[in-house]
Amino acid sequence: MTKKPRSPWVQIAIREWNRILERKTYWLLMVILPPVLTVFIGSIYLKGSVTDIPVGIVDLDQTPLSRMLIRAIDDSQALSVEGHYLSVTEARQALLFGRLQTIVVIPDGLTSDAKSGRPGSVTVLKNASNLLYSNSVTKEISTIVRTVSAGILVRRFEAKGQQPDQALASADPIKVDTHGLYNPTYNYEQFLIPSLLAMVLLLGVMVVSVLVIADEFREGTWQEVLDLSGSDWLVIFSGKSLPHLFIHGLQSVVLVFFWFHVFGIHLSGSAAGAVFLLFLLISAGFFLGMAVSCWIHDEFLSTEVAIFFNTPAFIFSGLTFPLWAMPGLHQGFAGILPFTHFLRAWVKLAVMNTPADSWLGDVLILGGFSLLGIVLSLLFLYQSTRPGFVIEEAHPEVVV
Amino acid sequence: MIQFRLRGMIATAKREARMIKADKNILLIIILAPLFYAFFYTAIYYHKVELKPAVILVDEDHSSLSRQLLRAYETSQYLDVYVYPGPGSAQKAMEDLDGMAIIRIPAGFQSDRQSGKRVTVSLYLNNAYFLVSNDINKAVNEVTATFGAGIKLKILESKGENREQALAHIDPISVRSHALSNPSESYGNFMIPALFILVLHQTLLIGLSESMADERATRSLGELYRTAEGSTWALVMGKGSFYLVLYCAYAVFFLTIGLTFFNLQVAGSYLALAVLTVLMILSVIYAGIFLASFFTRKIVALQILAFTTYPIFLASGYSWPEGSMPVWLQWLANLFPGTPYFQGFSRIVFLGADLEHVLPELFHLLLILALGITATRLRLPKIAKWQAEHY
Repeated sequence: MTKKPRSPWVQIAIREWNRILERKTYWLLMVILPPVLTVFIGSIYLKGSVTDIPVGIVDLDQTPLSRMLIRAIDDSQALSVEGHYLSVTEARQALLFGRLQTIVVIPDGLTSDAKSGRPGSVTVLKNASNLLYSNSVTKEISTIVRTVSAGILVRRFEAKGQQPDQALASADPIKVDTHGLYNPTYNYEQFLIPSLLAMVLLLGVMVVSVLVIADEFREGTWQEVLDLSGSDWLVIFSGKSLPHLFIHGLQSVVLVFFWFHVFGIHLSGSAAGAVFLLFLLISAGFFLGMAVSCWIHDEFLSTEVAIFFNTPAFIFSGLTFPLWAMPGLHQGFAGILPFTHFLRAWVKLAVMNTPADSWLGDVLILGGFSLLGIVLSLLFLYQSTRPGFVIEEAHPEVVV
Repeated sequence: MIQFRLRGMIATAKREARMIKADKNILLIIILAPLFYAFFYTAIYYHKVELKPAVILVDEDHSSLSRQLLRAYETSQYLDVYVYPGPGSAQKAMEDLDGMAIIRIPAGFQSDRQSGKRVTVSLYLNNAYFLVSNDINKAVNEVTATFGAGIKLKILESKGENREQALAHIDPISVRSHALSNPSESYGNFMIPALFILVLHQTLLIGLSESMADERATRSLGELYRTAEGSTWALVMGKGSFYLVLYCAYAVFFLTIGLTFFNLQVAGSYLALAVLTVLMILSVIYAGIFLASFFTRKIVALQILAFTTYPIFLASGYSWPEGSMPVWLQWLANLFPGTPYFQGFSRIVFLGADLEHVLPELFHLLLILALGITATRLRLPKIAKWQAEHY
């Protein structure tokens, strides 16, 4: 019995699979770099939140009240009293050397003013260049001072004959009951890791996908592809895409596993939804990269295009700085990046776990990028498979 | 000996200039990319702050007191308030990201207050977006505290105090917060200077690495050594001097005209900044040449080093404190020139630090430079010899 010959589609797919296995660069970009970067970037934010921000104290009051304030600052998880200074000038020197982030000045006479009914104030001199520090310092010290201040006022109302409950209601008549949804503890690991790693994965996918066709031209093997496929552009497209999508699909499953089990990322939505969305992003990146590869046969230029569109994707996504605050040109650029739409869908589907009608539009746009990539790839491939097509001269160099 | 080395260095520098002129890929990375990226990326933060984030308000009390509080929120310059009829529609708007927080004034707000009870306003923040959530939290708390102070004033007056006494008594101890840097506390002011430096760092690293990887790919290391008269020092400095001059010029441009364009200025010593920047550029030159010696093709240098942008910046301690990272990562991050540079840079630019204040960072950069010199001194002759034997 003679063995049935493999169809052109299977031959192209097997050939592409072997090309991936034979090339060190593909291995590096598809298999080694993603987990290495996952561990590296993921480990940066393992602690989740910033604690022990170094605070310097200038206590010019030296009273039980001032010592109570200092103790409260030191007891705060976010802050840590790093040193006591005799003057603001001395403390500012420590700030310039990087030993402090904030100086708290308790003025002389704070206690006596409080006792005699004169308003006093604690001065906070903060390094506001880093908002992470600045926001934490403002929140913590304001809460501490407000609590102490309310305590003084409560005693004053009690002295005027009010019951403790009434006195508290008079001293602090309106309370803001804050509920932080989706990430109640402001955990940076939860906030940044999934999106940062998805962006790195996308960059990897695109950097590889722009080589899929361009490499054939560089190595002078395009004629071999045409012969094997019978110059069928659909066969070339599907046969070459499948092995890449299989590996990238596996990557998205591994990445979600890492999030859950190594970094302890909590997702409100389902793991299946997370994998689905990641795969959609990967597909969009892959097919757009493939389109670039079919169009630009210079591997250097096509790689530069991939890097140009993907490196800034994170800062354009709106996660750390909102889209509506960017100039119109940048909002427009963000709109043509698949990652922006992935992130919006990601936040709704995986982080907020909202109903389908709220994220369906974003998912469809993301799918639209894949479709655009497929259509463009097929158009360019059709051109490159026509009988009159002239194959450019190869630049084989060293194949790694 | 010194004369030979200088001659070799100058010859190598001339060779490098010729090579760059003929290579459009490297020209794109070191000429076009720094200028385009530096201004395109930083312009994201042109408005510096995130204007007025949309906040959803649900008034379940419909009283005169709740309407007064609603007006107080509406007049805040930091909030864009949208009133929704009930919690259902408010939640839907939040799910569609049409609003980033919900303020709920509960039923019984006015009657409870009138009967002397402490009342509560609920604030539901979408913490999926930190910056916006933080700003809304701050603004809502400030507006509510001011509104609460008005109520306290009335209570104290009702207890027989005159307006002046009552005003003095409503807040016995307050906080006077003073930002020593970035007075508007804007995210843009924080990110713009860092992005200028990151663009410099990365285009230099990638451009120079491409050039060096090309030497390996075209097996021209032997010729390069001959041009440098056999000296590794002359080779690296000759190859690097073109980039050193170009990137020092970029640094001057970005840190003067670039910052001025965004209404920013260097608060500290320009001398300290110049010394730190030259050392960083030199360290990146040595690091780039050493790293590129492992790449056998120019494109591989581009492919791999494109992935280093985020790790270098995120591990530098500029945005996330170095002390909050695992120890092994701190050690690793301390091998990157960007880590000491960004730490010294932020204190000079924002806090007004002088040369003496950044001496630890200068020594750190010198150590990294010494490491780079040693590594290239050991590595380059070895691969040049290997090439000579095999080709």
